[in-house]
Amino acid sequence: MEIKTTRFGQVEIDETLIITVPEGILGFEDFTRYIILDHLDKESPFKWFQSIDDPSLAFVITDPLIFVPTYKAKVPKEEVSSIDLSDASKALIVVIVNIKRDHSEITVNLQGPIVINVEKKLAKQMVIRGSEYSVRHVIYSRKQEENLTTTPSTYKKEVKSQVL
Amino acid sequence: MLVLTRKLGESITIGDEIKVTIIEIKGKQVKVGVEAPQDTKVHREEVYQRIQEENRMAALISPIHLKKVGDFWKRIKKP
Repeated sequence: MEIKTTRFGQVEIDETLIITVPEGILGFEDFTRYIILDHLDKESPFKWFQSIDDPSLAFVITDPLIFVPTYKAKVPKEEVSSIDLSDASKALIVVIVNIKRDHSEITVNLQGPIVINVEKKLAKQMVIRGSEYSVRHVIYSRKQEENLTTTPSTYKKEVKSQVL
Repeated sequence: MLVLTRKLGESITIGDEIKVTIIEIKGKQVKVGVEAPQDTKVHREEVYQRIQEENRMAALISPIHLKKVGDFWKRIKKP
């Protein structure tokens, strides 16, 4: 089927890949159907979580493990009853990306991951309890990149400590 | 809003299945225990609000922003 999007114009999608978010994304509870679209090329770590119901609604998502290899979202059973997830291994966990308007910083929301039941194409934005993970975990900052040109080793160290 | 005063260790019940107990009072902080059925969502309000705000900000990102980010990412990955 073809869908309308404000960012990408008309997009042809495979209907069978539509993901239903019964409770919606927090703050956007009225919109429950999404599709994952590639960003430019398949190699990019970023994808778009595009609403089917609202052409202007889309989020950038990514695999948190690319940036935070130790990330572990505990998924309590009662939290995911609405997406029929009995087997955690069938879950795909993605996080929403935020970019500062001046492009100086990129963050990911580790406290509100989207848990996708891949088999049933159902998803939910979870809220992780406790303060272990931030809603604004920095995965890139221009400040650090500027350091990179002068002292590469310091930059790498900083990134590492942030990730772990 | 119904306002109730409770002492340490005392509880209030909401409906038949929800019980809120004051567990600890330390200066300006109060530790509250909530007993509720498994399917009842219990959250600190600020966490919910923070995630909603973050989502609203994230929904404003355009492909141009992301394109710039993508370039940054490539530069970091392959210095």
